[in-house]
Amino acid sequence: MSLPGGNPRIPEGINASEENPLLEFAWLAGALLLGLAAFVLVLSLSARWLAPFIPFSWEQRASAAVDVFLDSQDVQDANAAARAALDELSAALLQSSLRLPVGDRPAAEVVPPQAFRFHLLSNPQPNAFATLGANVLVTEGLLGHVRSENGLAMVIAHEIAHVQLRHPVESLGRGMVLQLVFSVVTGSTDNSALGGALASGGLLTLLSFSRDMELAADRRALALLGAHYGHLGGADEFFESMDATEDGAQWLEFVSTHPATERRLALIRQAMAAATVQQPLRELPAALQNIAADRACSAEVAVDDAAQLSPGACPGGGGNQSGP
Amino acid sequence: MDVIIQLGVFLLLLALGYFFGRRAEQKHYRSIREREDRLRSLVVISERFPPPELLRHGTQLVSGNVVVSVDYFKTVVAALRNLVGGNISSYESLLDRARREAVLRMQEEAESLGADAVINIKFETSRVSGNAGQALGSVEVLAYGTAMIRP
Repeated sequence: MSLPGGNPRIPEGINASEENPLLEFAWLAGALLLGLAAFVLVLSLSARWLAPFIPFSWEQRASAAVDVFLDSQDVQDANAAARAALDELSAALLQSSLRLPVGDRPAAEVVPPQAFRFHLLSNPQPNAFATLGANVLVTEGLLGHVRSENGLAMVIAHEIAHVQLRHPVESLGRGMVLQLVFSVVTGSTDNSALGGALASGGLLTLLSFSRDMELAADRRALALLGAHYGHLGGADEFFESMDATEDGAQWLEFVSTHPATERRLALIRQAMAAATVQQPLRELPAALQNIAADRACSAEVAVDDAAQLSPGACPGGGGNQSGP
Repeated sequence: MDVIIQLGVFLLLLALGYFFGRRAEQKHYRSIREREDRLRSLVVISERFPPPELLRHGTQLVSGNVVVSVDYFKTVVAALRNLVGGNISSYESLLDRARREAVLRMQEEAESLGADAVINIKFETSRVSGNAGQALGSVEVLAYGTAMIRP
């Protein structure tokens, strides 16, 4: 072997291609964007269908903003005794609800019972709603529209049913579900955008449940009431009261997103008629009774039944009452 | 707004990476070809034993090493490539340059020693900055061999 005369000229384009890297970038980025777009499209088209399958822990990430807002509301409410009473009743109902499976899954698995938070809002309007993060809200105004614990229990059971049937996340818009999924996929713990959107969109209260959702929640609530008390007495109290006062001005969330109060009342009455067991109703807890009496008096539309609950409980407040 | 700023920064880095990386690469290749032409007569072979005409030559270890860094544009292209697989051609040209530059530096050392050839050439490579976090990686290429020095 002898020494070559010189080094060979290395042919270009073998070890390193001479193709413009921008071309490769364009192909790759284009394909990636296309894939992402397709993913988003599929996701957004199936958002509604997908929602109930979103684990509750994901929903909790998004509900941080709601929790903060509600906590600030709680502080404003000084009535600790009433809140404790509401909590106690709600916790008992919740415990009973765990015996009723959701679909074919145990209720505790769908939404862990310790995630539930019950709030009493010092709002004079009769209202109750369930929102993201298993937050259930009842206004003091609502207490003036129920006469017994059973009547209040029906309302709370209805809201618990909404949460357990995953209606809040299902009624989030497409965009929200997308954001929720992306915030989980990208692992961003910063949900400020989502929280801001939730707050600005007024989604706190304006999650509008469809008629089917309401009826499903009613059915589950009736089953829960039956499981808890052994009878359905008092289930129609709130609806009857609202039905009596329905005049447009009282047209509020709990009823307004429920398009047909009468139809729901019919469903409840039907269930009550079918139930053979009749038992006396329980009285409202004392702390709640006080509020109920106050509210019943200050309500512009006095409900005579509520006023009867504590006759003479409206000293000096009778002036602005439009009595029956 | 945040998203727009982030996207803007990303695109700016991408553009900077592309333009400066591309310019540097073209300039480097020109320089590599020039010097390869100049040192063409200083033969580099991977043979372990000296050919007969070099048997009386003295020997000395010569080496040349290069550390190259990847630019932002190349990492982005490589990251995209990671998703689908295949040749990361944006890195291939980088390493091709590094290899040839290392050989050239070794040849230049040998030339300064008055060598006629370099035999038994070998390459080593190692990662310099690691892949700690999102840091851009650098790679070292070392070429070494035995310079056959004229007696």
